[in-house]
Amino acid sequence: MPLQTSPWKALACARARVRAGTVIALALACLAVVLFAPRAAFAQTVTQTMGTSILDFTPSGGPSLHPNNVDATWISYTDCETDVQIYVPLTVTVPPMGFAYYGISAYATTISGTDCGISTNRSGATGVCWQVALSPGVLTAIPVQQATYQIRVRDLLRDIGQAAGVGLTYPNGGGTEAACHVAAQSGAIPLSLQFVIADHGGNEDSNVQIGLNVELIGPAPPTGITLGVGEGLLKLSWTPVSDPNTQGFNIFIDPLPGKEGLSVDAAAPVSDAKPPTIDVCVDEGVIDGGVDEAGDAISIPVVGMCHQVTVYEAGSIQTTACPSNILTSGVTGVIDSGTAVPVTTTLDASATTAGTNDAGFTTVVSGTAPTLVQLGQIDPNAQVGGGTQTSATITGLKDGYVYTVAIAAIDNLNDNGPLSVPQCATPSPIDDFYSQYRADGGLAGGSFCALEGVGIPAGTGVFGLIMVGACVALLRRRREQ
Amino acid sequence: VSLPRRGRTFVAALLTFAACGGLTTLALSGEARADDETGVLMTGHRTFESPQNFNIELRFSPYTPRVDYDPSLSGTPYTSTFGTSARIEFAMEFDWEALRIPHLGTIGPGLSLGYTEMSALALLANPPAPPKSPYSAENTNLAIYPMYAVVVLRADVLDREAHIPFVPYIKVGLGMALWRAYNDGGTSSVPNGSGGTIQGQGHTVGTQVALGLSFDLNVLDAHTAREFDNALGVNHTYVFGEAYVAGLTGLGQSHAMYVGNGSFTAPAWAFGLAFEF
Repeated sequence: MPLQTSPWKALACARARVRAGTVIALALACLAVVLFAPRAAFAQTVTQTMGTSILDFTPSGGPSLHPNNVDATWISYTDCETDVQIYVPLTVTVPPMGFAYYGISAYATTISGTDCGISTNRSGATGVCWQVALSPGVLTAIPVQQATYQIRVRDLLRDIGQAAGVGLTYPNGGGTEAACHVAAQSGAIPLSLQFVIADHGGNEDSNVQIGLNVELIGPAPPTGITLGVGEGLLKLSWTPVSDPNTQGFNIFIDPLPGKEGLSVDAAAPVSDAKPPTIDVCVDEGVIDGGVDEAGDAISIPVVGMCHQVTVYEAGSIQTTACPSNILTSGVTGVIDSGTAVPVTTTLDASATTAGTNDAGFTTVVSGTAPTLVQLGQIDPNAQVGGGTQTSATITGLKDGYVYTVAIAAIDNLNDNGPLSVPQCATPSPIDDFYSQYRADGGLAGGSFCALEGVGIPAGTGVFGLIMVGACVALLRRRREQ
Repeated sequence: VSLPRRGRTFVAALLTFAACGGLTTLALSGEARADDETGVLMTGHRTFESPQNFNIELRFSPYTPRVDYDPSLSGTPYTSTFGTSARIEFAMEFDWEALRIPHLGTIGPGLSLGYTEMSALALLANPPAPPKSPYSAENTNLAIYPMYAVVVLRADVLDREAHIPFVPYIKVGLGMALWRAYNDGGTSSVPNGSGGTIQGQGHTVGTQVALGLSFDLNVLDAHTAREFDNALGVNHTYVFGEAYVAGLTGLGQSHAMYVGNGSFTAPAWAFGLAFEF
């Protein structure tokens, strides 16, 4: 990299020209300073040598490292969320220049081929390298310092996607959690990290660049998702995905198995602010002329979750059954007016008989896609390994509860991609073969070779006798041979 | 199990035949070996053949358990769940040709173990009103492991002495099957009325009778057959078909699921390959 001169040195030269009036002489002097002084100061080029372990991620405290982060040159979404730091072992050698210490700083950029050692790439309207906090930032051991420098991942990601000249200076507090969401789409974002050493004379040098990859968003979710019900379980299936980055799937469900009906049963209390069952009352058709409730709209305020809605009739017929005569608390909607409101579901006309009521009619509604935080992730056993999988069974559920299920594809860094459209389902008891057999009067069962009645069945005894006899004969014959 | 007089007599005859055949086989097997070349009953073989003592069958059979034929049932749970289509049973049989009866064939005990399974979507206990499907997404399954011990008589005299490559045979003995009903959540169960559950698994004992015909493939390529014998000791390779009755109706059991296959009026069929060695 060519050696650089800082702006204030050029300014000093200009002042000198004005004071002395000897333009030519001073120009020559300045030229000498520019060309020779720095070169003399760094006659032996500053060397920066990376350590043997190149990069090492360690947590900044609290949570441990992401288990799937097997390649330290890749930064995942989880690395950012857990606010880890990368540790860079570096050996810096500077020639004895008489300065007490040297400064070392680090810059990052996503522009391929950009040399952050050039000052114009780090400042001004064309700057595309942003500074990241580095600790320690001062070289105290001259001429050779070996140190492990710490850089927060959030700092590295802070200005990804920013326009040139924006946010280049290291801000107070550094990168925040918002930096974990800077990527607009899945796929790797190349990132270059570069170290710059400067002395008090304004001279700089840089010869170490580290290539990193940032991947914050996993692959797209699968499509063609169906959710079937079983007894205490749900069966999720989807069409095969073609994205080769898909390494598996994470299944999200709310409420979490075993926490059904609790006020807080998932990661986010907001998702459980309402019970899973909501009663909605509609009129009996008085306002709209006693026809039916088709077209009556209801809106469920809880975003993203599935809820079972029970429709009651208001009015003279179902007054006692309808808790609040029109709509229950917490549910908004309109009756008959036709006024546009956020419609979550529309009552099924086929379930409505003209002139009668819809008492007891139930439907399940879902809102817009919930966030990952709103849905509780089920235990690691529910993680489906392999991008070619097309189904999963979620067990341990309770019959009669409405569950919201969504799926996200994960990449090799275990980053979740966008969530699929949530599905709603209610596990229900089944009438399997054995249940039907018993219901029809069958009495067999219990266990393999179960003793029945008193003693061992004669048939079993005869069978066993023949088996034992055959074995004895075989042994006898072998001995004779 | 209630059977008509004729049926009881037949079953008794089969059992007697099986018991006598088995005991005779056990009693005389050692003697026959000792008199390999000179005895009246011997495990003889032709001079160019390797010794022939055993037979292995790889069997494939359409299998329809006769669960619904249980007279104690008020409905047809099997057909209602799995329909009327037969499933395939895979089985293996090992026969010991312990004795050779001159100018007739071989006789000896045989053991078999098989496996078949049927699966279908389970009905919802509270199905929704049409047009919604009454089926759940959960599978209900019935796995059956049929096994039997029989006495096998193979009349290979036609093949050996008249060079007609057909070997009729008969098998008579006792059978048993382990069965397990399960769904996606594990083994099926029903409440037992006292707070516990009854697991949907058990065993059923019964009879096994088969009548079959083997075709000796050696006649198609005698040279290859002889090389097969020299290399692996396989004397004969057969394709066979047999009609059989797995009368697994709970012989001697108080409660049993009828998981057998075929009846004397509508026997089941099995096909496969057999290797004598």
